[in-house]
Amino acid sequence: MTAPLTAPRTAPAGEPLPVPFTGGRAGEAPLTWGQRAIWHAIRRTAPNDHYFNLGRVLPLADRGTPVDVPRLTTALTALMERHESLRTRVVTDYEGDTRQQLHATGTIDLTVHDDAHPDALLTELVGRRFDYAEEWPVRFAAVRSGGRITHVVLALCHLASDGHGAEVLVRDLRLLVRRGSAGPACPDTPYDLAHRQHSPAGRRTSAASLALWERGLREVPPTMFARPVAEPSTPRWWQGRLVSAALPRAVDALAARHRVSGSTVLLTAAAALVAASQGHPAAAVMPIAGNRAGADRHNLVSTLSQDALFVLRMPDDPATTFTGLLADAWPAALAGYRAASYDPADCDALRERVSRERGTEIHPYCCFNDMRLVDRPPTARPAPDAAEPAELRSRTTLDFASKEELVACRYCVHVSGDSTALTVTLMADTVYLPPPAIHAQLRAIEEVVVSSAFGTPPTLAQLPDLLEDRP
Amino acid sequence: MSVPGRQHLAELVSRATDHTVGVDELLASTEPLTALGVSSLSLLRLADALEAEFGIVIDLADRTLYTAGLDGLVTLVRDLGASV
Repeated sequence: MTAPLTAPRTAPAGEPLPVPFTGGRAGEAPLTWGQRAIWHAIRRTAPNDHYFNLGRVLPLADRGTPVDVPRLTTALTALMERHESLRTRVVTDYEGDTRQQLHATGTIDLTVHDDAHPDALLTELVGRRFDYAEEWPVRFAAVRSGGRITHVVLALCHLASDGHGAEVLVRDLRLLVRRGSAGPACPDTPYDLAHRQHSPAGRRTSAASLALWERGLREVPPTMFARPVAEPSTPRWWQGRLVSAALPRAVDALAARHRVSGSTVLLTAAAALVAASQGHPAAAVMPIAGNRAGADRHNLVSTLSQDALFVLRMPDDPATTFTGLLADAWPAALAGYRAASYDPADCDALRERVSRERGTEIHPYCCFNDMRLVDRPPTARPAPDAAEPAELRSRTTLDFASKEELVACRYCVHVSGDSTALTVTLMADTVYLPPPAIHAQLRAIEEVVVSSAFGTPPTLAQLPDLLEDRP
Repeated sequence: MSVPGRQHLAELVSRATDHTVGVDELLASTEPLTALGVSSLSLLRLADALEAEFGIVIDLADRTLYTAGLDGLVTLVRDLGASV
């Protein structure tokens, strides 16, 4: 057994401190489906690909023994050894074949900043793209104050992990720092998963998923936002943001009443409004599926999430209410989530083949990402009194959170928040959805859900009215 | 050759919910599974478990899964040709 590596003991502020790690295995493997999916997205978005970086701040000063630099670097060494994803680089050879390269040993830098603000550090760490072949897919920084480490700041390349995996990583780091151990490691690894996916059994799973995709792609409108309606804003993509205290109550009430998931309520509202605003007989939205139902993979630090295909057929009867859509929407959503395990290269080939056969590009350019990580049945709470929803809605805020030079989509809704308030953002191409239309879509999502929960659900015929601009 | 019984399927459903929904509760109820608190994640896990154990293919778009309760699930699984 090799001697344990000595953890670095000094940390001049601002200078990178190399943290060594060793003792894992090494090798090469194809990309997993999740890695390939995010690799395609990264390439389409370059050089703006820092857009996909994930960031987390781990507070350490809230309780317990003060943490010093050696304790932190010991934990970081263990973290790098525990999670193969962090020791994996993505390399493209001269023939264009991209693979994952797992390394057993190396060093990773930690920079310690005295009395810095963690959020400012986070912004700096996630704001730079990763060199996928030459850098580890993670960056660590720490804030030191009064001689103790108060925060660890992490930036993660999306090739190394998705949102669920980032939560696992932060939890593991907290346990390693506080207790020196994080319990048994996840039995699965991206390296082993890649080999399984490329096996005959893996290919059969992919083919079964793609059978659903083929049915959907043959029936949906070619795209959701087909007509440019405005000159591009500067920059071209704007992200509207709605924060609502009324939405969590309304989402939970509808989910409990109709026995569907809260996520499906929001997905259906967004899809119905897109279809209504554009006059489509069906909406096609691509929600992100976590793909973590398998127990072995639940705690895996890796990007398992992939696009799913959700098709919402709008009933012919315009008097159908929004709530009348939910009974069919939930099975359709779940079938879509189940079919989200597939080889992305085969899915792209399928989409191209269907596009050729239909005579036009088929791509929804419409996606949805519910980033809340808790999957629990909605709790039925007592109905609010008549005034409460209106009071809660009076606190709703609506603004623009960010703007981007390039996003390879036209309509991207993200949901985050908790039982006290939901944040719904819509990143849209202003050529198809100018800034006032972005806000109109967000306001309409809130209106559809809240009025369906606590008032009268709008009919399909009434949905376009909800999208008219209001001051 | 026997066919999967209510007890066996109740155990599979309960396991898919990490036992937050109990076997006895499932056996005693005629409510849809979702009314007892079986979530989206649990339904996805249950589909995987049923397919792995019985060699059948579950269509998650089939509304029976959402409306018919444990007895409906038993019928569905048997109709799909499952045997133990």
